[in-house]
Amino acid sequence: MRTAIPMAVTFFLGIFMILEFFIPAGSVRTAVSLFQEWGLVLASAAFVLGAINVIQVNIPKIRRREPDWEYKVVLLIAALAMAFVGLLGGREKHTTSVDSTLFELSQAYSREAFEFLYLHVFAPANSTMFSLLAFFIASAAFRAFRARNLEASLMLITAVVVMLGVIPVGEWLWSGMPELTDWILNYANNAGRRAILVGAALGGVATGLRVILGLERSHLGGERH
Amino acid sequence: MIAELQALDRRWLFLSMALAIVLPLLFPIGMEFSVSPMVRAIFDEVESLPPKSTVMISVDYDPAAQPELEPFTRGLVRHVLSRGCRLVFVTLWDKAPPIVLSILREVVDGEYVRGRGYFEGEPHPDYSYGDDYVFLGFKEGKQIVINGMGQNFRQMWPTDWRGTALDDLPVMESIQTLRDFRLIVSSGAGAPGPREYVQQVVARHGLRFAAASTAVSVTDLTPYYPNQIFGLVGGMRGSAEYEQLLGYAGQGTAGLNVLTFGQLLTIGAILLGNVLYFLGLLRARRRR
Repeated sequence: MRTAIPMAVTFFLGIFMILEFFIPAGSVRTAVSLFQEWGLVLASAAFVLGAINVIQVNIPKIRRREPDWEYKVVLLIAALAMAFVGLLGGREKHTTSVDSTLFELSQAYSREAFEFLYLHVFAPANSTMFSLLAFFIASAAFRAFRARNLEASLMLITAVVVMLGVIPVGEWLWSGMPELTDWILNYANNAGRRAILVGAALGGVATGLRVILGLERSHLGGERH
Repeated sequence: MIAELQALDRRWLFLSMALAIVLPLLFPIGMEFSVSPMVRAIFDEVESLPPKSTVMISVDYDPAAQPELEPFTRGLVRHVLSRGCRLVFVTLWDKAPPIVLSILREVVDGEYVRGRGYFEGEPHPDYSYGDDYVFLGFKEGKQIVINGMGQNFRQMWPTDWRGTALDDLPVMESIQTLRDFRLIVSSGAGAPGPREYVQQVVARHGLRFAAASTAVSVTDLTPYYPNQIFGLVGGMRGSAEYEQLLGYAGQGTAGLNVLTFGQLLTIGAILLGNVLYFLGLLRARRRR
């Protein structure tokens, strides 16, 4: 019974969502819209679950003073601060006047605080993490990108051609460089990519059918049949 | 000498990369570059838009991808505005709303409405929020939202980001599904983004769809070009190409300068690493 009901729900909804693709009737579309709304509610609820999970995972580690527990304190304070100003600030840019209530004033200042935290804390931190890639790629290029065999040599040459092809210097060295880069992307790359895409799509269909038919139960905590 | 170079402290490489990034920003060099057919296709499509047609831009990136995608997104907004079209912004990324709001504030209101920057001396005071452009906000749900937009746009986005009902927004009066947009562009740095639009709605509803992505994701999207995605802007280079088509050198072009020196340094590091590797092999063979 523990798995029978979820399997029945999976079967019914799975079959319905496949069939609606081929049945453009109004009633079917209405039902699909309803299911999609349920999906949105579930997806939004995942945010709350995520927040609870972060607290559940980190608080015991802080209590036990595990290694790097100080960072976990920073994480929780930052998450709570962002959530607090975000929730209180709301969506609208609030203005204040002499007649503003305390709640309106707090909303206005929370919005400002949210913008400040986003622009001056989150955005620079987020960009910094991504920017570090440039430094590590340069280091990795020097130490690891070696023409040890034929395949590695081909990859190395292709990488150098594509890198030159996307910068103006490549075009300055040889006018055909951008065309060569486009050829590599549109033929060599696409041939491999499309093969992977078609393979993955067929795999997706097979896995989907196994889930709908109840042959794959690992997502329910069960076994494969 | 070879052994010393092979054991080069990587901080020298970090310093070189820092200089390769900072110096071109301080002393920009203007090198000519051609425009790829993938980028030109988007430009030509916008050029052919009739005035008052509605364009949807899905801003699906976070601050990390801003340097690569924002120059194109802002360029596209300027281009669409110059054609007198209406704009609808959405985002499927929770970190993107402040980015969209800054585009609305600085490009739509700051430049187009007030006649500054790209639209210097040509103010359009009648172009207003709700009548001509709107931001519908962020919606969680990823592919479900995209799929839903194809079926019933208004159910997925019943209000704009401020909470105003779509029925009260004249810009949305003719929009029921994604098919009602003359052009849809997703400027995205990952999932959900252009690939999810292609998989969920583009082929199914026969949409006119273009995309922009970070350079690292371009190879994920080229298999869909030109049938599902008729135009594709890839990373900093694509943004610079679009700026060139629009006739100005903005952040994308400045970024391409940085990219040029960064790529040259990386290529140099690859070559140096391999020269040292082969010299080391030769030396070891001679010793034997």
